[in-house]
Amino acid sequence: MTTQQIKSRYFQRALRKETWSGIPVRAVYTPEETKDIDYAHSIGNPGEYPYKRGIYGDMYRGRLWSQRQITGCPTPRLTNERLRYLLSHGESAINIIGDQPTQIGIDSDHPWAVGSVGRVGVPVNTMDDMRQILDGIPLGQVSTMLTLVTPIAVPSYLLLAEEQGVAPNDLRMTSPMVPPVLGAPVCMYGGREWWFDMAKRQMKEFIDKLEYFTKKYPKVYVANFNAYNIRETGVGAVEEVAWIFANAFEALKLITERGVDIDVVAPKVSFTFSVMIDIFEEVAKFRAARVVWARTLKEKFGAKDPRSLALKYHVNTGGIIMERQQATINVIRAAYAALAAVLGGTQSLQVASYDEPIAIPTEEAATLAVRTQQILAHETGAASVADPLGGSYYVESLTQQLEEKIQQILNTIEEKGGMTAAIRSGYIDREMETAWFRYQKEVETKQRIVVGVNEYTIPEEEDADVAVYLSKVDFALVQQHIEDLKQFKQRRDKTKVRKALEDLLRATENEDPDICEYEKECCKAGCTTGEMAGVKRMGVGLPYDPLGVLQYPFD
Amino acid sequence: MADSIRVLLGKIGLDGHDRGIRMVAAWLRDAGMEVIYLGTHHTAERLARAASEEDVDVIGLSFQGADHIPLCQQMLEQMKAMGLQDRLLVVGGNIPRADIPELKRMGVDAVFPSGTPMSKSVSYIMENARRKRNKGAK
Repeated sequence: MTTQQIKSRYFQRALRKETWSGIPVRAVYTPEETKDIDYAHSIGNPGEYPYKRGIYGDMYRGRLWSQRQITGCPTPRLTNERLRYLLSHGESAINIIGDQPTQIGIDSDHPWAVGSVGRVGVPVNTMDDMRQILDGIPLGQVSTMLTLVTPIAVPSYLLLAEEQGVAPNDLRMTSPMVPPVLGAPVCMYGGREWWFDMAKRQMKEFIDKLEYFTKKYPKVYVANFNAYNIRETGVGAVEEVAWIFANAFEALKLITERGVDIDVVAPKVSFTFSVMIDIFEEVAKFRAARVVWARTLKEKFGAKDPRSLALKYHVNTGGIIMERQQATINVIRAAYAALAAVLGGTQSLQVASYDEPIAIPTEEAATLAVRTQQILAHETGAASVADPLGGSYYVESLTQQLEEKIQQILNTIEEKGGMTAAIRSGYIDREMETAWFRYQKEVETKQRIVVGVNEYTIPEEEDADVAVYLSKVDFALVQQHIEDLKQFKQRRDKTKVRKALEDLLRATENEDPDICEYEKECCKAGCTTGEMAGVKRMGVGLPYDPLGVLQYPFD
Repeated sequence: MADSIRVLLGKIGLDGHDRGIRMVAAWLRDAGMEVIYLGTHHTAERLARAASEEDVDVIGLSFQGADHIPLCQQMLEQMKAMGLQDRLLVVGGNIPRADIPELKRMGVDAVFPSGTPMSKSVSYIMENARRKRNKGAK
């Protein structure tokens, strides 16, 4: 540390003159920038169209956001312990994620699953696994997000709630059942042709499920669109909103073209957004998103029900803002991002744990994340007043700007023939690649300061080791889980399994609107994730095994 | 050797997180290397075969699924089976620091955990791409 360095520190200035996403900002905002924004028409009170200031009049005084940490440990038992631990420490809702094999729809004993069972989520092969995960959790009281994209998860959840005697009206659950391309575009599907194909073929099933759940389980939200994955690629706030809306609008268009009333479907739609660390840009993003959604639904889709017009969403604090270097300081990054989500009016929040860039969280890291939410809810004052940044010259001006930019991208995508066409044409991919390349260049050239990464660094050997949850897990338990599955497959009544699968296959082929009932029967009969996903693929003319290794076992 | 360094990049196993590896591909291309990026969801066998057919100097893998140890083991076995031990094997991704010595002991030449400056990975590959091949040739 030289005298010169100390001197220059004293005279340090804020260097960044643009938002996290690269939108230029001025040094000061005045009434000049907001004079054309009419309160009644463009802003409105919280709880009133166009919902810029939030979807409820009293916001968090009515109900705090759901505090749900994404959870998926190496076995169902360990996952259950973690869920109960978090609930006992004040988490108010749950969010379960599957491991890689589960998410892709294969069983833990699949040859490709070697090494990935239970590594980044929980393996869910059977209804019994779901039973273990949810053991002792009152499903009539808890609100659940199933980030579990396996055909076994939702029907098993419904059956287990039934077993607990929960009335369908009391079941609160959200799950992303939207066909893959439309639900979680680009990320992880690599624009593969069969995903496009799958999305097209699954659209009818999706609509049927929407209707089924609307009728039978009014508080179950099966149409959750995932914008988090989009933002995690490194694109800006505007692209995050515009791209996922383009997806949702395309899906809604297809649905309404089939004669379904928009006010039947739209209230069931919800989103998962990301939130980065630029507090004001993120607040402006959420405010702008609510307006674009409300206006489009009203003006383009003719929706009338306020529940259709009000944008509902869950937020995960960004993973890409979490850094490996000096990892404990990620606690602070996540806290600022969480503050932005709450100032922006979210309904539900997951705060990333500081060890996110290393592995799935330790209990200690997960606890800190829950505590971050609680401090935010009860100590900071952020929850006391609806839209506390409303009226700020800067935030109002930025909101207006983001609104316009989101609309511009939506128009561009529409000109390209919709989101699926835009992905196919390579436009989305090119935009993504440009964005992350630019981001990384900015970091490497210090145009963008990231603490501990390109400034205020310490030698690697001095950087404290962070405890790694996975290194403490006894992986014999995972091996046992796989063995148990193999034995279960031998032990179960194969005639029943076969019949249930064949019924599901026929129902898929015939596009039976009550597909969920067949899925429930499969769960009861002891069918597995891989088998159910497999016959559903067969039902739309695709191979049983997405990896082309296994054959349908009951031929 | 004046001709450009040839690099094969791809992901093996089920993990589909491809932002990191695609960014690496862009940076290596920017540095003048010839990059063949094969995408996600490959077997080790398929990648090793491609590496052999394309006669690359460097094989780069990326892991965000905490499955790096068994999958690198598979990759090294396949490389051995196809006589590719003289190629540089570099690995990146969400890899806990404690796993790095194990990966190196297995035979991985370098590990660049997420957060590594791109310039560092690029210059390492630049300098070491043909180290093992040249040694073999002498």
